[in-house]
Amino acid sequence: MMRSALFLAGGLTMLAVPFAVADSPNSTAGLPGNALIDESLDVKTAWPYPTEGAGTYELRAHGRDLRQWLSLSYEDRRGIPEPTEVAFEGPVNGDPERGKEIFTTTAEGNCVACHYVEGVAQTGTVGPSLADYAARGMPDEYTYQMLYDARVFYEGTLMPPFGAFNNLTEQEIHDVMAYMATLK
Amino acid sequence: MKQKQIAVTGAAALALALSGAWIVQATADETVYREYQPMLDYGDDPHVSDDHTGTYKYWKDRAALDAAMVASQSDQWKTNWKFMDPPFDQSLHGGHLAEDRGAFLFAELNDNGAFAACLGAEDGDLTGLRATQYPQFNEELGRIMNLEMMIEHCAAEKGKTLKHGSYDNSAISVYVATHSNGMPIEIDVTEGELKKAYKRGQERFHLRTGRMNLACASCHTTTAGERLRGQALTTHYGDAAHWPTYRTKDELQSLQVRFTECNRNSGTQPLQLGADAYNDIEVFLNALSSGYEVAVPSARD
Repeated sequence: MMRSALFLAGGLTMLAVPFAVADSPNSTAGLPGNALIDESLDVKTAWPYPTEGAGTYELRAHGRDLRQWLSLSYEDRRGIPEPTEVAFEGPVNGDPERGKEIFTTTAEGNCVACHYVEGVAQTGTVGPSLADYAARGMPDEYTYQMLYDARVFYEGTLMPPFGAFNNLTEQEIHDVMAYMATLK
Repeated sequence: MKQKQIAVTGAAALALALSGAWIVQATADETVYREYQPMLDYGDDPHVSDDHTGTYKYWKDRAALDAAMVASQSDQWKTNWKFMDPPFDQSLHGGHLAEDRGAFLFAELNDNGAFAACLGAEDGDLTGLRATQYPQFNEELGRIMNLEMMIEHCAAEKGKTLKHGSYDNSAISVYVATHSNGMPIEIDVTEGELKKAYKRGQERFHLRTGRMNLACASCHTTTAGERLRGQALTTHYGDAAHWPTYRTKDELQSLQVRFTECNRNSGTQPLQLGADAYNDIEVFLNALSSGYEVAVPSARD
């Protein structure tokens, strides 16, 4: 699987440059009317906390504003970005410390939810271990495309398209790549 | 390879959604691109024993769980957390306190018997109400109602606010459900409005949403048994029979409150409780618990 993906990466001929997402990061265009939000909170994406002994619940702010992305509501008419090939504009220009933070923080990349790396508690096994990722010698072009939109290599993959979905910024992807270069 | 298909109406979009992982979905005025997890074959008349992970035999009988499996870090997921269903620990966890609170509130609301009758009890008898009548398509109200929505509705008729998802509402739900303990869930999704809801719920369960582009099914079909942030993923079969449940982080959660947490954890904007999509997923999950016995009060990590 990895070999074929590399072959594919080397053979890409129709490369697109990273495109700017039309909506601003916290755009609410298309947000369905039955989304659970509270305009009085700093982060509008809310969740219900069932206060003990009460007939109402308290709305609390989630760690990240999720309004810009497709929800489960039938009223939500939005689509999602199609698989997007990107050209890597090297070199990697990121901060590995910041990358580790993104990698391990739930409201950011949360990469450890699925991937194992050493020294982090509560990692996952849904994706492959990345404990020795840097030792594998994967080209930066490949790593960048995997982070930006892995669907280009693996149809139906569970790997989130962090770049194409406006989930991580260009700089944040570089920070994660800088951190991953230390994993060996 | 990747396939794109054009759907022209909502109904057609659903049919296509069930057929492939990659589709273009059309709404009334525009065509949008969306993705789905591949559908499992759930059949038209599902039963809990259809569980796709092959673990049903390990958690079929809660009283006969394999203690070694429960204690095993690698195999515990195969017991589907049923070791935290009653009577796993008779010392009072928060679910038992909720049951007591629910009994108190129920007695207060049901002073003249109208509250129980509103919930659907005959002669005030709550036996089997949870197992055989909820979630339901309520002809009078013209919509899907789960037990918590009906508790809110019937309490309002008595002038009391008990919002679906609130502690007191869930406490009454636990109390009502105790009268179904040991009774298998019976929900007929082979015809009528519940059949439609069951099919819609399947589609919603497999729709990829949010900043991570994940569906409910992303975690609960092909990856069951794997770990996500340290937590083992389990089957979605047999998972509707122990709600509302007491989470050991000290929170009494109805099933739909749990949905909002599932959504948040996977990076999807939660919906208001009672949203049509949540109701349909609740019908779908209850159908996948058909034949499995109700067990409350329960707890879960």
